[in-house]
Amino acid sequence: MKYAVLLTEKPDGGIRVSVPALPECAVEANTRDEAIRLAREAIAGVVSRSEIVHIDVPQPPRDTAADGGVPWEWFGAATGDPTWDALFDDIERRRDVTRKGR
Amino acid sequence: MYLWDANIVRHFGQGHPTLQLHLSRVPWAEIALPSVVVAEVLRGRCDFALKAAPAEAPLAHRRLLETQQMLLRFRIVVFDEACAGVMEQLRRTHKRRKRYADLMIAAIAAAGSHIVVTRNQADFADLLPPIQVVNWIDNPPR
Repeated sequence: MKYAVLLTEKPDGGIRVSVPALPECAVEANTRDEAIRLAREAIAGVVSRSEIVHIDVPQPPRDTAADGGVPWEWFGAATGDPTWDALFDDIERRRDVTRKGR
Repeated sequence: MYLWDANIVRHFGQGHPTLQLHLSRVPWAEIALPSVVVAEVLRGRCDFALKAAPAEAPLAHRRLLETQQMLLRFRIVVFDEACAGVMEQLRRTHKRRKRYADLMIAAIAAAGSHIVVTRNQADFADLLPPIQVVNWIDNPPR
């Protein structure tokens, strides 16, 4: 399995390695090669002691669509836009076609 | 839930004053779009974006994304299996006399006990009980 690791040069020399997928996994080294080697060992150490478990959380996430109240920024936003009228004229036209077609 | 027909979305975009009065009285959480209307609006905007002449295409694509962002602010009631069952009954009863999208919207409303908000109440007159169809454009709130 491949892990992305972040190698960051420290101001006082040396390299700090962090692993975005494993936030607790971080090492430091003097050279790039050593940093990568230590990172590989550190990741292997964490992974060998870990398992992935998928858990089901019944509570749905907060419904952001309705949280903010009426989206007034969109109310009247199409005023004077001829493409808006054309859009809804076309919807009505397409609906009318289905009256006879089915 | 108040289910908006496409013509109400049209007037929302145009800032209709009577619709504004209703919106100031009804919690936004009680307003939703049927997935049918979402599909119709996006189909129209997608067609516009994909068929526009080069000079018109930038506007068409901008409008597609703007409309998508606006639709994201609505709750959406999806046409599910229960709606499909109601729809079959409605089609048997109203064969060849009703518009397909109107039947789908009526089926969503009937299956979920929602109220259809539309300017074309006549389209739903024999599909839903009168109390389940309201007009927020021509009838101001009491």
